[in-house]
Amino acid sequence: MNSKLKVLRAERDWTQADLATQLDVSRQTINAIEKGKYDPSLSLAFKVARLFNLKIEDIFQSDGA
Amino acid sequence: MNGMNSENYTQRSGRNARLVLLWSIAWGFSLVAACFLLKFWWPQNKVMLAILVLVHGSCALGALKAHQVWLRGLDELQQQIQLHSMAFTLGITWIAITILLLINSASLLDIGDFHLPILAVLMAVVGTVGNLIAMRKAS
Repeated sequence: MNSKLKVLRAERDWTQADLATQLDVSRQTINAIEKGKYDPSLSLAFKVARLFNLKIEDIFQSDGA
Repeated sequence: MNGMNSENYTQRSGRNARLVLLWSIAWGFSLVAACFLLKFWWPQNKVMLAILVLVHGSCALGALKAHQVWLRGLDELQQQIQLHSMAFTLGITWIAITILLLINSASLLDIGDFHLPILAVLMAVVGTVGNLIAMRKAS
């Protein structure tokens, strides 16, 4: 899965640790999502979308899309 | 969702991990103390045996509960890492047990009390290796 998490985070000048704190997850999880090594659950994807005030599909796209 | 938490993820999981460590030390210490006291202090004393078993059982339950709290407090990736590590440990332990039984049935080795702690040590080592592998894959 591709995500725009890194771009969105950089636009807000947040570190991975800042984003991790806001989402109540570990920094390793943010790093893994940004690198495409881990696909977040629907619940976490909703949390991310709410934080950035965007739709899930605006942040995460499947590889085939 | 957890916006009302005064504690952040790192603080919470650190606190839970410290509780796991404390309960595990208590569990290990109660086992060693019980073995020592029953062997050298109160051999054949059934009342002391019951008390020491109760104390050790309570520490074991405390350690189990602390592990559950720690696992539930982890985020989804960390829980997945722990799940992979536990599955890896269980698989390797089963393989080790079946190999030991096979060697035992072929009369090449006599499985005795000595081999049981080795299995526990093997599980601890494999668990650590499984954890490292899963963490490396995720980073």
